[in-house]
Amino acid sequence: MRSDTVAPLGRDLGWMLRVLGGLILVSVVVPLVWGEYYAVPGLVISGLVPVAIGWGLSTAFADADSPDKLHGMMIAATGWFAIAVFGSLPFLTIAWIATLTPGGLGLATPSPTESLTVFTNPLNALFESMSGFTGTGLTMAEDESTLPRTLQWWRSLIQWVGGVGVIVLTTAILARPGSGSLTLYKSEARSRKIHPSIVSTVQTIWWIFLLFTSLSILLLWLAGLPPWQAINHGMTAISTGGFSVIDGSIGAYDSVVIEAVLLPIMIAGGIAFPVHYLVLQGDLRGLYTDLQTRWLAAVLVVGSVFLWLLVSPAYDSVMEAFRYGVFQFVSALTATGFQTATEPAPLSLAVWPTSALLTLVFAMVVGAAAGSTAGGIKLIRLIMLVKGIRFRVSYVFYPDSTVHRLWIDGRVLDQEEGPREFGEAAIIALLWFVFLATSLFVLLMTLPSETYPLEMILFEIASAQGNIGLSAGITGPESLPTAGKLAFILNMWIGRLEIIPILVTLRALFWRGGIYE
Amino acid sequence: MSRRHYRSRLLTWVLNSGPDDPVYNLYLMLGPLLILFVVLVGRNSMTTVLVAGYIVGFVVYTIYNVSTTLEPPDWVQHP
Repeated sequence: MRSDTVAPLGRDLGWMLRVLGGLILVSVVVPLVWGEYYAVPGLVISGLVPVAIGWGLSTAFADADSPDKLHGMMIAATGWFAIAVFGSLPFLTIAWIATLTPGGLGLATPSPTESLTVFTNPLNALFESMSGFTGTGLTMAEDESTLPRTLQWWRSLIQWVGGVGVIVLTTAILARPGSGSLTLYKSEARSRKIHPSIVSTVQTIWWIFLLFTSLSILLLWLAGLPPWQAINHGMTAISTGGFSVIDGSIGAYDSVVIEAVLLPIMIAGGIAFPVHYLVLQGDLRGLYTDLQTRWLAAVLVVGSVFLWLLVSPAYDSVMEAFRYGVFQFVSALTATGFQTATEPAPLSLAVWPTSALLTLVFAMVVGAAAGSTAGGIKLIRLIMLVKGIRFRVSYVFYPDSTVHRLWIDGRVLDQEEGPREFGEAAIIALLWFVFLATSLFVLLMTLPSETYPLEMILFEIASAQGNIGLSAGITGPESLPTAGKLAFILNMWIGRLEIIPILVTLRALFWRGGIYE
Repeated sequence: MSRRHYRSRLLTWVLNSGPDDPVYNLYLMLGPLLILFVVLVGRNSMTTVLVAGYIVGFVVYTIYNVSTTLEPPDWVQHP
């Protein structure tokens, strides 16, 4: 790789690791408050390692040039992976301390639970970390309520931070024609350099995110959750992450009020954050004239009703089917992954009709708005594909002399822009299905034969790659084979980065790096 | 860095980063404090009324804000 590529990459990776280390070290407050003193050494070690490496990198490449769009994509791709790797250290160190020194060190170490000991396996720790930072929510913990509060907090925090990260990614780094992202500052949108734009964008996103997080936490507390659960669920709901601190996700509460409160929070997380900014500035038209928001509303209503009808025969009452159908569709489309169709609910997802599971797969593949915390291929690309296909088909029926233009979101695309934006959406959708099919192949090869039906495997992979977190029961430390865990880690990473930045990074590594020269 | 200086930087960030609305700025700063308050005091009628007031106030102010704002912001641009 060329030095002018390595230097900005190294400098920014260094700063990301320093921030990660800082987050881990600040989290030491949690074990101190909860009396989990045995977790303190683990957190300190886990924090110092990325700080030291990050300091070394940022110092060595302090004079690097400002990054451009190419570097931005590479930093996002490599940074997300590096952050997930180093973010797994708290899981690993705390699990090992609890396992090796039960009752020892004078730190009141509890007997390690099964949910904690699974993290002594580095792959399980990396899986959890990647699931957290990508906002997925699939977990290796069998019973989250038995995890130390320190790790419960770390899981929520990484989803929350990852949520901001993905908004920054789509509104600043990947913002380009056809991405559907409104830019936050007009003047900076023209700049090819991303730093000034990112700084101002990140500040505004943090501002909105903090406000919405406070509102979410207080709403959930008002709905009846204890403060600790309200804080954690509020953070993972607005970031559409889906990690829970109790066994059985939201379904364990069996509360219509809590589910009703979570619906608007999840939907808020699925709307592009620049649109929230518009509304906070008093421009309500920004909400209802935004193409993605309109489609989001339409898909939510139609999909929820459709899923309700599909699951109705399986439930005792129509209202019960409505409750679970609507919640699960909203959770899937917004990529939150909170689950109510699980124990103690009457029916778990694993026994839902195949048609209902496939409807959820559709929601998980499509996702919500670009510029939000949601996953999937994003609504703007679905819109582009639908309009582009309609345009290409209708083109045949017009005479050659007709000037035929593609309209999208109030923009008229010329003969250069139209095919380019349609092509980009098509490429991402195609690659999405290629990676989906690859993981399907891996799981079919490695899962015990005839244990899981095809639709359940497809469901689980779509959940991982769409960064959703709903599970039909395949994901687990024992049930998912090593190859499946590795495939899911890649699925989550690829899904979060929307594929292209990873391909750009690989190209830079293998082509610009001179391997094929 | 002194605590006084830190506070002023935090305040500057809040004022500069949001939608330039003093009411929302106040909401942003009050939110974490209210969470801390309910954590320390617990659930009782006073904290319940305070939290309900915070949320209802936000909703009411947002409705008022959008109904009285006539001009859309000038920064919107599709990249």
